[in-house]
Amino acid sequence: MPARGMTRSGSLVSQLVDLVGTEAVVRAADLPDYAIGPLLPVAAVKLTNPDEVAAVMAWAHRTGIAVYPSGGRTLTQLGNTPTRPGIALDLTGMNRIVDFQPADLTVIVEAGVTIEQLDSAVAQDGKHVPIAAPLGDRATVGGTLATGISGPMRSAYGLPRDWLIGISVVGADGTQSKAGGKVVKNVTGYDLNRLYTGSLGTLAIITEATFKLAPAPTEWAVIVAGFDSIDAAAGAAQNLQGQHYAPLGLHVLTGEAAMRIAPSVAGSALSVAILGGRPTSMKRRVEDTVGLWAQVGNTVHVARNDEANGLINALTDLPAGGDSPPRVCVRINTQPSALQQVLAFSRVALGSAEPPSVAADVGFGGGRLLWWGELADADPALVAIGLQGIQSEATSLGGGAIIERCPDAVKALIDVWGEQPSGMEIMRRLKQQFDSQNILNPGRFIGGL
Amino acid sequence: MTDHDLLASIRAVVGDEYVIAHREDLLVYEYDGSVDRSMPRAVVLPADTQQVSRVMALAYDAGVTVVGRGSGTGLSGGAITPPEGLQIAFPRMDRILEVDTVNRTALVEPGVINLDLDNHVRGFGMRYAPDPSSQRACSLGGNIAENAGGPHCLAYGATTNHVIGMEVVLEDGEIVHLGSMAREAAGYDLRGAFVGSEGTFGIATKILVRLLPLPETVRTFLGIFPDIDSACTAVSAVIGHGIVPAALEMIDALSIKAVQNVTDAGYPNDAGAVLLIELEGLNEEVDEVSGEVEAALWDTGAADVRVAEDDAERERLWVGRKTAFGAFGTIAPNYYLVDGVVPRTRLTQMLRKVSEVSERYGITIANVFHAGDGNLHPCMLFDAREPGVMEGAMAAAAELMEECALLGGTLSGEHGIGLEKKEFMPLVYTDADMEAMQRVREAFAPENRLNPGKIFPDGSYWRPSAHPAAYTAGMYV
Repeated sequence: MPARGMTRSGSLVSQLVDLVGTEAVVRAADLPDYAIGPLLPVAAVKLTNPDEVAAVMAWAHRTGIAVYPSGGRTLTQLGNTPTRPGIALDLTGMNRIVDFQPADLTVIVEAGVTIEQLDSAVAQDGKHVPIAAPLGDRATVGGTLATGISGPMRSAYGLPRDWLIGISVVGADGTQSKAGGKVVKNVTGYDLNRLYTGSLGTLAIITEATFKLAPAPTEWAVIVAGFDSIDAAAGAAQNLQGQHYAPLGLHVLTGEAAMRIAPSVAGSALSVAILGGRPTSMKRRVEDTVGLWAQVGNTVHVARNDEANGLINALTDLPAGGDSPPRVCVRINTQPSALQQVLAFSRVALGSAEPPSVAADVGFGGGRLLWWGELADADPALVAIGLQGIQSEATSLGGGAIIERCPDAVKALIDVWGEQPSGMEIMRRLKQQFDSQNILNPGRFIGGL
Repeated sequence: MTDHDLLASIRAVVGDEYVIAHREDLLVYEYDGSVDRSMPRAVVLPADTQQVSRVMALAYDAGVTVVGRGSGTGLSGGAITPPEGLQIAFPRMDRILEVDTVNRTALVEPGVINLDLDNHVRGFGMRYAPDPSSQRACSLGGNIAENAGGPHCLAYGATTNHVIGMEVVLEDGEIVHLGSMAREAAGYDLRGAFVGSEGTFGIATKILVRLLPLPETVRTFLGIFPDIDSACTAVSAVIGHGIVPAALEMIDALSIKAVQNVTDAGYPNDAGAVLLIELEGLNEEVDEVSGEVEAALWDTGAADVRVAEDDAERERLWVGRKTAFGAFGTIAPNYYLVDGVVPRTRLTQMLRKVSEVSERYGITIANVFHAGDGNLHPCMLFDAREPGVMEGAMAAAAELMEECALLGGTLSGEHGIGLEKKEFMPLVYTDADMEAMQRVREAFAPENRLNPGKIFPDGSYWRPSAHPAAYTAGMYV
């Protein structure tokens, strides 16, 4: 394969300059920004339109060099360690709102548009696309779709795939194609929107997305209650879930996750309810939630509007956010009925590290295990065994566990996506069909795809 | 393996009485709800997943095509089987295996009827939201294949939004699980790709669906309008007001007449169009939004706005909507239903085109459709025994498809492409777009043994042999 001989970055850069111009090629000094774990790209280009993406992909396909698409770089920790060096493709320059049709409830945006930019573009008309990603001021639409990441209101609003109605991509060989359309109901051909969503850029590079919109709640509130025990917090949350005024998001937090969200609310665990709606219904939603929780909790705090939005953002940011992101973050996917088992993970030791905080998503099922403490002296092999134990346990509950974040030395020992699912052979064939040269994010996805 | 050997082997798997191979017995399996028909070589009625798997493996080894069939209500020819092909139908796999009230899910077999599932889970205070008009007859397996919709998809999404996991049998008989018990699973979203793949990827044998809690309040309105234009304006006004009702349906004058011929749904005979609007949610929210909806209807020229006083009246309004297609039999012996979608703000424009095409071809067209999401169902009413009329209807349908594409819409909102629309695919997709789709099919079914010749234009595939003279009175929906 020609790629083998092409390791000298000098000649690579000159080829990239020929393809997309000097302006687009990132300075060597900035390459560390595009590192994925221990892998430093040999070059990076910042592109501004799909034709440039297509030109670079056609070239990469010919030469066999690996390509690592890059958005806001907020979740680069997600995925296995890449298997070979390659070039980073920065798509943040593709940041136009292409078409906003409030009356049709649709919006078309380029992949590099940030979640915050999308929110504010449609908010002027009282609409929203209820998708969320940590660090929404940097996280891009393309990255949110590629990772399939979702926020604390996923139980009510679903996942990014539920709002995507059309997509444009550049394939591994540089071919541009689209799927879906700009209508909210569409069964014309196969549903590739859902296939590309969550595929971590291993099938094609997303360049544009069309979403359906929903009217946004006009009022928001977040109710936070502290409880003496995790069980009490869980019971209170589950009690609320059965009501007609059930919230848009419902979570139980323990340990440091609880401290980070609401340090002033006392207790060993928190229940958090996100409420949204019209003022008329919000009165009852808030009063009844507070009423229900005040009977069993220590303190109940009601945050409204700006403070509520701050708390929603903080919940969204937990897995990746801020100045001190967790050292290890595990996403547990299980049914809501496994809440007790998810909360029981708060007792799991990982090497010599303290047990994790748990952020359980009561409405959706599953949740996250978060370790902020030092793992420096922990043996990577022991940590890896601990994480694999969590993965098996979650699998035995009918779901699975994805290691969203962990030290590189640990990552090298595991498949962060967990046990290979029953459809693994179909997934391999898909990868082969879409990326026969294995140049898109090689090795980062499930089973080394 | 000879034909005889294959059928003998299959009989050994499912039992003699569950393989249908006599010509007269096959008559009901040669058509679905579409215009096409073709008699399969045999129909197999398996009892469980293992039998499906073994039958598929036998057919695969014999190089025989397999087509899955739900209840045969499909409108795009999805269940039409080529003469050499084997059809697998699921009347024996019709059990609701489990209803889980904590996780709000139900595990069902593919032959379960949509409405039976919904009625069953309502007993537990929940519902299954996708509600195609054919829900009294159509099956969950067929709903999966077509990604079926229905009026309440406006608020709750189509079938794909309600399927969590599936057990499916691939073309070679292998059994795999897609998705998981949890709403999110690692790896490519094979579940999402499978739903709506029109039986070309595999056959679903168990389906885990999501159920929704019943709302605190439901309120149903009938907005009565002098003409269809003002009704369209009302649709835009409601949506533009930031209201997405649970359902927002349009029924035009001709459809009102047809419905009132067979049942008193409470639609006024002299109306130009009616809108059936349903709101759901918390009491106070429904109260507030009701006021806004009513205001929007009056503002856009409603002659009257009625509210269903009780469940019986609501039911009556909905029976009218859901029996409209059957009621067209009182106007003409045959009908051909076109499914198309346009952006909601283009509805008026699209309906003008429908009316213009109707006049030009001399074909009566009724409109009863999901206005809230721009999903039109122009329904051509005719007598197929008249020479040339079927060709005219097909040509008129082609023009309507082109107009949908031109207005930024698409070919099908909920009926699928099947045989009916495969040659229109280039109106909305490039070769590259369709090649990407074919790659997914290659991954699921490398030998292309499942329902081949559907969805994609090929020009060369067999065309069912029906001739207009062969059409009997009935629905070609």
